Amino acid sequence: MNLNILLFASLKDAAGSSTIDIKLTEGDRVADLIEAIRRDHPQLSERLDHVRVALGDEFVTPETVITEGAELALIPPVSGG
Amino acid sequence: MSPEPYSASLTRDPLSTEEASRWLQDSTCGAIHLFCGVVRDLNREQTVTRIEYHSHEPLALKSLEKIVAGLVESGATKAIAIHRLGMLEVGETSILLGVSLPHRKRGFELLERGMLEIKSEVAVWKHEHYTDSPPEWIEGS
Repeated sequence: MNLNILLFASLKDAAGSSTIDIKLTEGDRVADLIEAIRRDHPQLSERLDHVRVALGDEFVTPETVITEGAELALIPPVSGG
Repeated sequence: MSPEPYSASLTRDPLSTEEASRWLQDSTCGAIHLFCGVVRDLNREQTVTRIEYHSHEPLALKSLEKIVAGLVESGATKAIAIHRLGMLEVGETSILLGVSLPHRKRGFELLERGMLEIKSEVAVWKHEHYTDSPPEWIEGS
């Protein structure tokens, strides 16, 4: 399945785009997503150690299974306030 | 007006302390605490000219709602958080966090807790602009 992943802040700049496309297999988890991004977008690799992943309006864990059509986002450390 | 005793929002409009304070008023409350986060002109030894606030809005709003709901669960009679997005000049208010409750002491604690949670959980990022160098993302605070 093909997924469109949202990027924010320095990740967006590093990718040169606010989204990236990633191909995953059914049953893949969030941890597999991160490894796929490391492989396909090496320019983002060093920033991935500190990102969290959001599915819609909730954070998810590395064990969360990803399903087709999931609205996923990579969330770097935040700096609001 | 929210029917809940808490309110969270994101806005590109200037923030009003008067409106937030009015929302927090309650006849049972002798204390209204309101924290204003303001854009300052110096960070990491660089002169800041303005800050653009970016967000993953659905995620940020959900987190902000959880935080103010948690403040009410922990003793606030009412709690409100409003985060500004977009480009802000030095001196503009970027966030308002407020609680009201019968007595003041717990309110100070809840405001500090709420701000710590906002700074670690709410998906908002500062893009700082400087006088002498290109803009930088601030990640982690």
